[in-house]
Amino acid sequence: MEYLMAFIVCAVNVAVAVICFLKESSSFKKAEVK
Amino acid sequence: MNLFMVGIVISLIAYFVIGNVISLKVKTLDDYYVADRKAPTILITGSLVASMTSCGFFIGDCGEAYMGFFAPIFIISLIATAGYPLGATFFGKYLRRSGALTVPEYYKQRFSDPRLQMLAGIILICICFTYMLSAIDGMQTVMSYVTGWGRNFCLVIAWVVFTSFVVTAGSKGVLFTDTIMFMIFTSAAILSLPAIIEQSGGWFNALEIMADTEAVGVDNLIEFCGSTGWMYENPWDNFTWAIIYGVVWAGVMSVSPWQSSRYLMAKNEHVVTRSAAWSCVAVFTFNGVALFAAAMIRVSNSAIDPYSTAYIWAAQNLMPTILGVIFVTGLIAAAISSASTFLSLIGFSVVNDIMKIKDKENRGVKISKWAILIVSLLILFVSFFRPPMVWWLTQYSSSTIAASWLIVSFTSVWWKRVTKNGAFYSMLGGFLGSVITRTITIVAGITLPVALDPFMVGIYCAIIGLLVGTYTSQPTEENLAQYVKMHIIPEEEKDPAEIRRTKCTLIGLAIYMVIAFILLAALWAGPIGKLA
Repeated sequence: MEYLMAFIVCAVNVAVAVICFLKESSSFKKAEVK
Repeated sequence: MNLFMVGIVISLIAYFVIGNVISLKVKTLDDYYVADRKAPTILITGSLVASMTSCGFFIGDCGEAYMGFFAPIFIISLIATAGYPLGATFFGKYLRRSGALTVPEYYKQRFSDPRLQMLAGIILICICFTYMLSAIDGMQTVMSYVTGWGRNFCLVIAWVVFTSFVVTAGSKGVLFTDTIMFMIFTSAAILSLPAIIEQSGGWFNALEIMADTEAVGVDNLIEFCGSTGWMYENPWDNFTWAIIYGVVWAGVMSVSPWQSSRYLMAKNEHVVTRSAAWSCVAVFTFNGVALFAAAMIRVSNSAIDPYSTAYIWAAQNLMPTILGVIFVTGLIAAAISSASTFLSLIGFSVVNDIMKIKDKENRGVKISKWAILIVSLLILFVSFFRPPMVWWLTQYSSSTIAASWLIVSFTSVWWKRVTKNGAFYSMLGGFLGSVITRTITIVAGITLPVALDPFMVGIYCAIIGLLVGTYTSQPTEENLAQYVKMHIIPEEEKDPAEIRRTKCTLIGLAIYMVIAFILLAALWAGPIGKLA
């Protein structure tokens, strides 16, 4: 179960970092198209 | 005078001098409120972490970890760090783009509603006041415990230091002193772990002892869900509670005034995102290390009383003297940095959000200085009557601010249809729902089921308020125009080199978290699984 704990706390942060990266990429891409 | 006293006195003098030197460069209202919006990544990161971390963490959270509640606190602290990048990317950047001086002013701009600014200002003042009392209480506890001086004497000394530089230097002083304090307490906490490990006979030996209930006197000291009976009897209730409060704290890190207001001072929007990513790494590492160290103190002494002083006991008895002195100095720094941020926020909000001042540009700085001084005197007065329960006071404040501001903050950026009535009722509903439920639980002495936790009730009320208010009114032309304007990326933010650096920082954050998982699995989860 300790693996689950370690996985949750790290996975949440990885997921958020990836979401933010995708958001940054898409918003600047949109700005370039305009 | 022992070395601990010397360290504390030297650090207080240093903060006093640095803060007051910086005050010489403060001229305009923008200097005073938002550090002229020129702060680089290091200063924003330092202030984000220092404002978030106070003595409450070392004596509250670490004390709980020492008593066997390590796992839930660990989950909360490390899930919460996700709030940094999330808040910066989906709220903080837009907050900075608004050009507001305070977060409540942003709400007024977005919804063209002075009522909302007033409400947000009142909530900010109430919460920051409570939070500040808990930060000051923690600082008094540490200072008087280490030096032997009276609590009120310690209070007055520290109060003079942080009030002086907040009044004279405003946000600029807070940013610089916060960053120095962040470096001191973060390095001290990280360096404390090897010292405690050494005193415990090495990492794996310590883990073996910590897994032995009889040796450490509590069950599940560092195992899944923590000691049963500390809060809930059922381990899964502890786990669910920790996940919910991890989300609460992620919300706090995303939108709370003592965090999001730092973004108003950033040099540009890339600094907002990058400083949030660095803060995420710093808090994740620092909190994780400090919580492991706190639980491990039990291997050396399982009878520290009161348990909230466990880490201070370790600084005096387990760490080399010089490291112990730096650590205790870091504890005081953590408390002062939080207190200075809260004081500045309260003062700014009183002047900018509550009072109506004519000719703000010319008279604003002078009036703000007086307002901060008066507020600070009031806090000093209240602090003399020691408020109880430091850790719970912090929980009270954090869940209330998250319940009140979380829904409005994100929907203000991402939902075009939301109206000023929706925003107002959401904020009011979140605040009242959370405060009333929390008060009932404290007065009646009950623990509600996880789904009816005060934060959850506040969030339900905030969502209901948002939907009812929004669907019973129409957004005005002004609101819609403001929404569109907010989503136009300023030209100066389109520098390709800056964009690349920001993206690399976010990828670096993801890689760091993968490495953290490997380390946690190899050094903690794996060995503990074998011992079970």
